[in-house]
Amino acid sequence: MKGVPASPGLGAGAVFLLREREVPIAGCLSIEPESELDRLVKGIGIAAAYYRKLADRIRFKVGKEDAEIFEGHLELLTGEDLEEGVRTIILSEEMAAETAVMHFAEETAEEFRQLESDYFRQRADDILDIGRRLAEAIYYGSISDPGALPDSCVVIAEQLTPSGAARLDTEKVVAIATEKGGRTSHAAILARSLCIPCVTGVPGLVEGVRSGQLVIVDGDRGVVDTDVTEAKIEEAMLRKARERRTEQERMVWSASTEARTADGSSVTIAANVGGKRDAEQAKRYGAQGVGLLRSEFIFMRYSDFPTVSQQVEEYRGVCLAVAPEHVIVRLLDCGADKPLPYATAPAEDNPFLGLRGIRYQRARSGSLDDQLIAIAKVTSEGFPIKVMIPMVISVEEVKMVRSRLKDLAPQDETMPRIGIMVETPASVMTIERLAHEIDFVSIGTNDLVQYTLAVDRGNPAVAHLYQELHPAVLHAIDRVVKVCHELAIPVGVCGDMASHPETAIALLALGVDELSASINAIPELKAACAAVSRKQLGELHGQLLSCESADQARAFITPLLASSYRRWLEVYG
Amino acid sequence: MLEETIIVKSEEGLHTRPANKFVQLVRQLGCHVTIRKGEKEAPGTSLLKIMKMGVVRGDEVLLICDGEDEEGALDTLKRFLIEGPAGEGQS
Repeated sequence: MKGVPASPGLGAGAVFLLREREVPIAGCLSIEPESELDRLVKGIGIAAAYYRKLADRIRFKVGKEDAEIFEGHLELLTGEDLEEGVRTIILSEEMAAETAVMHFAEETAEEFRQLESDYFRQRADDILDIGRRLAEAIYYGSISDPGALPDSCVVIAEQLTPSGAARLDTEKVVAIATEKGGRTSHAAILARSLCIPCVTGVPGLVEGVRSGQLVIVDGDRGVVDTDVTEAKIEEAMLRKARERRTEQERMVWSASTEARTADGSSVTIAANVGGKRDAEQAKRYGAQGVGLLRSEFIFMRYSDFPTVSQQVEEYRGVCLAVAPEHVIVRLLDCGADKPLPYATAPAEDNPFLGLRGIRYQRARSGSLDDQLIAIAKVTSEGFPIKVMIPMVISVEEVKMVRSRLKDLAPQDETMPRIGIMVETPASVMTIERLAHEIDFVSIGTNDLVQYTLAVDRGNPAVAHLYQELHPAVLHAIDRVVKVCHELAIPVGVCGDMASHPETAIALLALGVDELSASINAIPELKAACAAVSRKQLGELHGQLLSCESADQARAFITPLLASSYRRWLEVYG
Repeated sequence: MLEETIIVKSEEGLHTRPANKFVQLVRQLGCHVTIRKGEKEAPGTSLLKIMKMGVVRGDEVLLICDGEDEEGALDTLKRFLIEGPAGEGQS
């Protein structure tokens, strides 16, 4: 069965079905309001005891901050408003207690959905979750606890609510799969933070499996395999192990090989990472720093905007992992294809032309400041951490970030270096102006190609027109490099172009200073660099600028990656 | 009765965790507390009503304290809204 790949890895085991106990509430009318009020009070008592236990367990297992969230839920449950509100509904509508509770929860959730702040709009789900628990407590006289999970089980549920996720004894879970939800559901965030493979949004999943049957969850491909035998599991595990072994050999080679051209001039290859773990892995592959820290990946591991202190810890962790090399943090880049669960924004007709990158953070009070404070703090600790602004179209945006940073950075401390992500045609056309305001440039080719060619690469009808070696793209990059180099500003590339040998060679020919690639592409990039000389790259530069099509450009590049690179591929490919 | 307008500066405004701490703090104080943001108003002891105001950093709120040691109470709550829950100041 196919779903959304939400957390990478492969997990296999027996299914544990996590079922919500159904509470019949539809149109349940009360016969006896007085007794319904009694049931409500009893239910609140049962649910409160449950939340107290939950908070204690979370404090012990996860930490104080997460436990305090559930203490807040306990207060909402036992506070004056809920009981009073439900009472009123029971008496005026003559409803049964659990029906009245769900009505109250729905009404309250709706009020939260009306609020301005993304954070508070997201709280609607918490209220519904609390309401469901209370309804269950009233109807059944208890709240079901999955309790002891069997060892190495695959948890399958329609969806995982915050309290549902909190109740799992995650040490026994080898994989999670849910019928509802996407990459940013609670289940997905929990799975990613615990490194458990997870697939979400699998239609018909709960009906399609039996408790105890064997399944394989492939979080890389987003597949739940229900037609499984022990032999098949063994085979899948072996295949993963083989892949890991080959990868291990590539890694060892990469770590012990310097990035140099055939004639010995050095090349800088950094890594794109999503957090501390990635950064440690990048170091093992011999990356020379982090050319792109996707801060939205860090944000995705939290159920709400991480605080300044949480961010400081995350950024510091990345810096420590690759020390003494530099780390470039891209400011939160959410919206369009990168939604954050707690950062809901109104639906847009054209999300890629909408509220994304720096525009999104400007529209939100607080989140930009928090991020800048955290980065400034890590800078003041002496780490070489830099700020990269995504989706820039004007000098004013850069000045705004610089002045915020000046206001927020500790007095008399060194300021972090500021750069921009060149991904809009506007930033290419005005690079002369922008260059005076910045310390470095990083070209985000994925969006630059899309915006320059006006092609949505996710649309199969035009995907073939998405060409990274299109003359317009090559000339755009050439222009940025020329202008920046006149002012001694270094230019890196952190898009997909930097991760593929052929396009990476084109970037080196255009004079790019740093390739920031996905971690497992680093070995073949080092091998590709070693196959070409600076002289060849110089010739290629002129050839690329004279091309009239991407195919022509490719025809110039491919022969350069001939024999020595092919031999490397035979061993490590 | 004392009242004061405050710009909330604590990092998380009145999100679930800090709002709950605010409520517990109000309960320890001897006086009656009301908090107001724009048209909305909530008793200081009601977490749900406080959260429904959706107070974030940078918001302007009016604190009203009435009763025993209202001065001390106003001072304590003001500090809370500006510095955040104790021990969690800006790091």
